[in-house]
Amino acid sequence: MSARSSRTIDARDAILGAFLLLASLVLMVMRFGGGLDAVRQGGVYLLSTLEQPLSTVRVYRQALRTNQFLQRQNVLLQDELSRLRSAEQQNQILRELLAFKGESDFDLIPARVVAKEMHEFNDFFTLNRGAEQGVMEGMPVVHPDGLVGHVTLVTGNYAQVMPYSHVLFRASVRVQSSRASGIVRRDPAESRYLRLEFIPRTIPIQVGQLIETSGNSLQYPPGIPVGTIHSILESDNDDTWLVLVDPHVPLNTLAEAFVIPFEPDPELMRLRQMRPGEP
Amino acid sequence: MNRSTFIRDVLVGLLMLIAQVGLFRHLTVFGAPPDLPFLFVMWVTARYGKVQALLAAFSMGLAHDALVDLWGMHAFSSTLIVLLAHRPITMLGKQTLLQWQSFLLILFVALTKNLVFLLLGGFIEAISVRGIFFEQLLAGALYTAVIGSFLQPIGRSS
Repeated sequence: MSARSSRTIDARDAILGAFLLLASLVLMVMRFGGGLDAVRQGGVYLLSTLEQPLSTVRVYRQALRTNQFLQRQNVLLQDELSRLRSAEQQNQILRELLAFKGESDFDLIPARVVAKEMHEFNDFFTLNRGAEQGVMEGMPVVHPDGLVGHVTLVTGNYAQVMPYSHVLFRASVRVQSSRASGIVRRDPAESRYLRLEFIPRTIPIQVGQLIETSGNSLQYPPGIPVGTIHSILESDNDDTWLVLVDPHVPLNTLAEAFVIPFEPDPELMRLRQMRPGEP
Repeated sequence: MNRSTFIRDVLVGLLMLIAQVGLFRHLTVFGAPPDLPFLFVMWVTARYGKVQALLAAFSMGLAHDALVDLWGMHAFSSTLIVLLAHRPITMLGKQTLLQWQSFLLILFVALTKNLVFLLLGGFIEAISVRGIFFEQLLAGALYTAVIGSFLQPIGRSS
């Protein structure tokens, strides 16, 4: 009796299970048939209602994620902006150099500063152009802003330059407006300025006047800007002015320069050597 | 089962369902959510007879399907598992079962249910399981088993 009852129960469970499975299958098949649309709409509405309170949390989480992403993007864009600004600056410098090269009467040799030794007592820097590119000792080195120095030593592909800030640097210059000539050298008291000497006091000078190479020394061609008069100093010498000149070319930031393939006229050189007392 | 017990059980089931669709559906592990409604079904199976368990599996599965628009899939897989594995699931109600044994039992049952659900979904092309089959199968079952093994002592004492 008990076994029969158990079998009946098992059969009932099996029939119920089969019925429920069949109902599930029918639902699965019918769900896109259109018959369940109203119920599906109800389900969607119910789910939306249940999810509504949690949407704020999701929005907040999404905002945090977006914020993190934007911060990362910001760093990347700042980096890119910085590189673009640097490239723009470099582009501007190169354009100026190109324009200067085009304007010059000389066939300028463009060079990049590859090494710089800016000590107080021994300033030198090295260019990446040498004898193979036509650079020779004594040639002037310039920048679009003005005079830099001259070449003192040359190898195959490099040249060492003595800049105007070197203690041994000397250049024959003139005041552009009056054509009064003098000599500039590094000022012993204030190394960022040049000292202009030997201009007679009979010639009036004033602050702001342009100083350029005179061409008298056979070292530099005439007309290369050197700087402007910064101040006129008190001097013990009653015959000549003592002037401080503010150089145009900032050596600390100098990265490119041109070598002027300038060689003095051989006849003038010979004449100079013929003078009494010249070696 | 008296009336108050029935109402309590229905409320527990609704709570599990709301927690599933409202919260745990988004708290996924390796992209897979746990299956709280099915844990409720196992709890009912362990406490009551097969008829009640089958009805609970079908109605809970159907309610779950209604909310996630998968009409019949959870209902079918839950009902099938209860029908086939009723006896092992009833062991969860026994006091002698250790927690790790409960964990393994829930894991096995959840794994089987997930397998049926995913194969069925793939077969009728109701869901796309390509590429996420094993994540959904294994991670989902493990997640369900972990939560189930924590909830099981509470369910046993109630």
